[in-house]
Amino acid sequence: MKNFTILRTIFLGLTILFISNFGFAAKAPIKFGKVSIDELKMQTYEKDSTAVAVYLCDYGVSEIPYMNTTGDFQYNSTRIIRIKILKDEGLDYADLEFSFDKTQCNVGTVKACTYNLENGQIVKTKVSSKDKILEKSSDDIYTYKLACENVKPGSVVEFMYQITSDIPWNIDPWYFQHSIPTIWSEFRVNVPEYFDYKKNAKGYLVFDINEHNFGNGTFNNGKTFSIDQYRFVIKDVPAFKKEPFTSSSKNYMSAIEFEIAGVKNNYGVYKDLTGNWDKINKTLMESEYFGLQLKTGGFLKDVVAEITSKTKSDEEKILAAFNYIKSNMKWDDSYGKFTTSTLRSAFKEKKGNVADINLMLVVLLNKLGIKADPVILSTRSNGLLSLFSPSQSKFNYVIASCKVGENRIYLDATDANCPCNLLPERCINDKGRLISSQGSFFVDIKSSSISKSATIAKLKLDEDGVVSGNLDLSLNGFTALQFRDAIQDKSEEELRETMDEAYKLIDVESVEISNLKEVEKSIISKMEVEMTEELENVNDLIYFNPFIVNKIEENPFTLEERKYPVDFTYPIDRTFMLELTVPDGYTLESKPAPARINLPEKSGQFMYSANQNGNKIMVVSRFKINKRTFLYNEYANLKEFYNLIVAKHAEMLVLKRM
Amino acid sequence: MKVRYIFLLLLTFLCTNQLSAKKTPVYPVSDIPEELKENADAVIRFDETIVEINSIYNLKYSYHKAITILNESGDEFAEVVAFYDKSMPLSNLQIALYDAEGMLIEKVKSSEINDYSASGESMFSDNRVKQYETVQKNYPYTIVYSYNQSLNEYTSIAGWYPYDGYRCSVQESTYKIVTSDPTCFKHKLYGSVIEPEVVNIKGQTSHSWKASKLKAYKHEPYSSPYSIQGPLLICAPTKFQYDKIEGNTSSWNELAKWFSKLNHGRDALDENTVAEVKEMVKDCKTEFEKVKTLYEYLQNKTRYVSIQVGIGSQQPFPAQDVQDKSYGDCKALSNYMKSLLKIVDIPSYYTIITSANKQRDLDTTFVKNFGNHIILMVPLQKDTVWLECTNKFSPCGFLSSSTDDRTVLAINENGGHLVRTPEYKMEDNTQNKSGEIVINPDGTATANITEKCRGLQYSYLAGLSHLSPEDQKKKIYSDLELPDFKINNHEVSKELTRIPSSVLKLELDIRNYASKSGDRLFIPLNLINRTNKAPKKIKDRKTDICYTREYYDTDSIQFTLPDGFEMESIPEKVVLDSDFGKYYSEVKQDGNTVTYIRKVEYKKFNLPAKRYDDLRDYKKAVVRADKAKMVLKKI
Repeated sequence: MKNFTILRTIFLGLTILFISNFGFAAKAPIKFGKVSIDELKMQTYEKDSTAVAVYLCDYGVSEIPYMNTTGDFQYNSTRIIRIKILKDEGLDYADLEFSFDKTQCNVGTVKACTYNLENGQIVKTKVSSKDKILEKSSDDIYTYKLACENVKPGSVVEFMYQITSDIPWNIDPWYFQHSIPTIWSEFRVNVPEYFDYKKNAKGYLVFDINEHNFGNGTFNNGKTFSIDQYRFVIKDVPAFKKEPFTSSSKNYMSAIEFEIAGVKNNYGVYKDLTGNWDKINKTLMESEYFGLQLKTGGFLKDVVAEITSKTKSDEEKILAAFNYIKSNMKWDDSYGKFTTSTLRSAFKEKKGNVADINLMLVVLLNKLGIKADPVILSTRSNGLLSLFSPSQSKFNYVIASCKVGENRIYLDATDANCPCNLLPERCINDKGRLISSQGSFFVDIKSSSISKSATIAKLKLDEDGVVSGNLDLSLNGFTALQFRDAIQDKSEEELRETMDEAYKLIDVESVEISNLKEVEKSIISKMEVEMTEELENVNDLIYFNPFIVNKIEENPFTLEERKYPVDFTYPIDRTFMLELTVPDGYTLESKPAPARINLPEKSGQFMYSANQNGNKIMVVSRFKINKRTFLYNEYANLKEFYNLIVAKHAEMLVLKRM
Repeated sequence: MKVRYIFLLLLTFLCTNQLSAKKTPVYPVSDIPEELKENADAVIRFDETIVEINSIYNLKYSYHKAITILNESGDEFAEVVAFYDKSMPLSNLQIALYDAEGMLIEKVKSSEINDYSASGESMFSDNRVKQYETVQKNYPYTIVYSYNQSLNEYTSIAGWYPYDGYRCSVQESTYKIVTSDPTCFKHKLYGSVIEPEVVNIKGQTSHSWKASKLKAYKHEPYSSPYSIQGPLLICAPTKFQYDKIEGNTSSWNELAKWFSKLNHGRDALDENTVAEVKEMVKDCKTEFEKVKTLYEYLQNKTRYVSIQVGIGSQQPFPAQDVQDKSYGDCKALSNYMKSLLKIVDIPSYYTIITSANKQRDLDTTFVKNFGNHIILMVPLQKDTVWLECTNKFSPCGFLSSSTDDRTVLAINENGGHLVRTPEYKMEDNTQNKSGEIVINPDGTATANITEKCRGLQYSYLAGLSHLSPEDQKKKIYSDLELPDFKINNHEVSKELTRIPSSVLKLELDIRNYASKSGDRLFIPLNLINRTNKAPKKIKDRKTDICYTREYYDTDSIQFTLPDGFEMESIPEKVVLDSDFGKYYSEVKQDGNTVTYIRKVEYKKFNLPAKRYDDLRDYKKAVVRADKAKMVLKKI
């Protein structure tokens, strides 16, 4: 709202007749209502015969015309969508639904029409106004809903809608890709010279047309202004299909974003709105809901005194502050880099959003004499940051950071199960920006911790085939976090049931878990287990597969090829050890050969060995993924790596009675 | 009038008194009996529903509830959700929060309560919902809320079921109906023997039921839906009026008559359509063929769009609307199909059904408005055809596991009656996998497998057939439990016979099919249809065990063994017979050919909790048998 006032002042006094001059050299690719017989006759989409429906054309124009009635610029966007329905399964594409914020936008014309070919004639069915439903979804958000009539495979449906806004610079991103293919996707943006945008193209597709022209607009006083005219086209856009182990679809879907960088008044004075990183840093540090809150903290006086009296080293202080915030503040599940109101009121209510909690932690650390700063970031679901186009609005989350000796550590106090310096999965998205009064810089927030587990099985094999003994589990990092999240509030018996359910082959008779609440420590779980199932006892031979748990049975990468990177989120380190006591008189007749498999640059490692020592057989398997992201051209290697592990894990021990 | 005034005043006083108390502890946690904390994430401390029936034009609900949340997992029980719309406005919603000692934390301001459209999956709806979720750091805490709702039209009365779900116990729950005319409603109680307390005060009669100290249930595998536990009270008005049409619940036929009136005149279709429909069926030889032709016409022409606007929640849109727009909800599409059939003189019944996986069956002795879905029943001379009108892919005359084997109300122009939808038997619900697997010396294999599913097993593969070939492949890749494989060819087809079937043919290259260790090859016999895991071990099982459907699986796989190996170990025949099902597997060798046969019957059962361990033993034996391998050794 503050920025809005700036703009008003800039353009005040320019209430002069405005002559529109938004002429485009290129013709619009589509006109609402002008559906051709050929489009109706179309039976399949040749480039993707499996498509259930296809966007024949998706055309959007966003522009900022000057309105002489209001004396201000306004934002207008028009979108026309033409879709060919090819199969019954594509009928859902005949429904249109879009939401908007009523405090900022108005909806203009909304049209929808179905076209069918009947006896060689085009028959139109319009959606009448009484069948267009405007629904209040929540306080400010309204949703427009309509369903086309008379739709069947073969139909063409068309939608058009216009949105206007008094806040000129909010240009929505344009997505070229949809869950079905698009034959022609075009986005045009016409902005007067007074508005400066940063353009950010994303995704793997290349523009077929990328034009930048100039046009003119004229005020009535004779003064003209220049208009930047952009035109982006991508043809034959394939359907976007989500693949497993992908971070956020938004990271890979082809799109173009326009983000306001500044506005200029008609005397040529430039007002920077997001500007460069220094500018962002300064804006944040001066914000009532960010930087100014960092200067508060009187309400933490008692806490500071308490912690100071009980701790000595910096490490102790950091941990005490982190634990204090975790155990006294409840996260309300909402993201954001700005506080709800003040830290003081959040402290009083004992709850808040991400910024309330983590900025409070920054304040507490600083009060304790530890130099701490906030780090703003974009969560996984929000998409990757664009490092070369500074923009404040891409950040939707904030964490705390400080140094222990030379090492920078990262803290998120929203999840009570998160230990110090381990970030929840949602935060791990490449980079964050550290914000401080001395300036800002990028920091790596690839996970500082790994997902580590060790399983030690000490089992005894009876002659009659019963296998029993102990299974000890030690979990660290993400595995510990996931474990704690999954089993909190459960009774001991329920824990046993959960473990029993988790293991396919064995019965869990009892479970004892330590350090469940001490999140800085590893989870240690001791189990008594029993099984009778895996044994095959014929001809004085016993066949036994050592992987009673942790067996990798199937290759998770089944698809033949992959378009997008594989994202593991965090490195993996999994160890399994078996000490099997065999009945007297049995010896290991055949054992799997030892193996050591590495991916290039040790991005993945696998080690396996089996040995006999007296009446004990030792099997050790260690599996590591050391790299978070594998590119599509590394996919074949990764698939093969898993394949070899699957083969190794399936191998059997053969015992023979002497 | 005066009496009611006092009553309301008293009620308001009671509610506000509870909410405004500041000094005296409100529902302190110390008052919860220990046994109610067992297996519980939340305890309903007090739950009171008061139904006030003033006339057939007016019914009021007053809800008052207090729930203590014991831990973070219990937070879901603290969500306040109240649906409303123009015809049933909501008033006086008050929410307050108390700490473990019973001291007020806060009274929730109305601005903090969300107000959403409640359309959900529905495209068009004017339902709304008030919703509130609290964020509390300290457990336990107690949320207390109350609200009133007034209805000027109603066809049913909300009943009483004290539980909110698994892991939630109940300290006290009451339900009260107040009316000057006790004959205006009827009731029936299940699962308990609580006698209602009947009180008469100045011409107002109240019936109240009360339950206390109900322990929490936790989910156990193979149990009936939790609603079978504890008391359940159902109520219904004896007479009602909706959309200016009077109805009553004295018999199923009387209730059906009300629907007949509501649907009256909604089957008209224009002359062109009538002519078109007659033309369509002119070459049909049997009545069934006509039904099938028109049903396929419906499936091709229309699509399902959920509509919940105004009376739309009870009454279908006219058939002509569906004809013009080519969409509708279950009511509109069923009514449309009925209208199409009427043109060709085939009578059919608009049929009310509760669509869900098996729940408690309808009590035929208690007449009430029920159901959440409409299907169409078409009685032909020899048999009855059932039509699901909202699904473009349903085979003509076949229902699914959400509509089979249950009592429904079939309605025609003059009333109606109860009938049962078909029950699909073991011999209908079959699955057969057959084919050849050629094993190579390095453990790889090539497989040609045909899977055929019928009856209630038909839907998985049928669902596959609606995907694009590329997505079919992706789904097969993610669903098949094989170590690593490549699909060389696949083909999905379906046969829409009365008991439909679907077929998947697969040609695969499988890596690591057999595991090679030293000189040996370990060849699993059943990788494609194995039972992986027996149900978990439960100490002290509480609920009865049940399984509600029957299936029959048969597999027959022929293996070709590689040269240069001899058989070291071949699994023995397994025969299992139990109350839960039968299992048979056998392996026969003939030179380098091995045939594996497997037959499994899944039986329906409903047995006491103590039989759970027997069920587990049976399933474990099945898992063990399914894991069998043959072992070859290099010569």
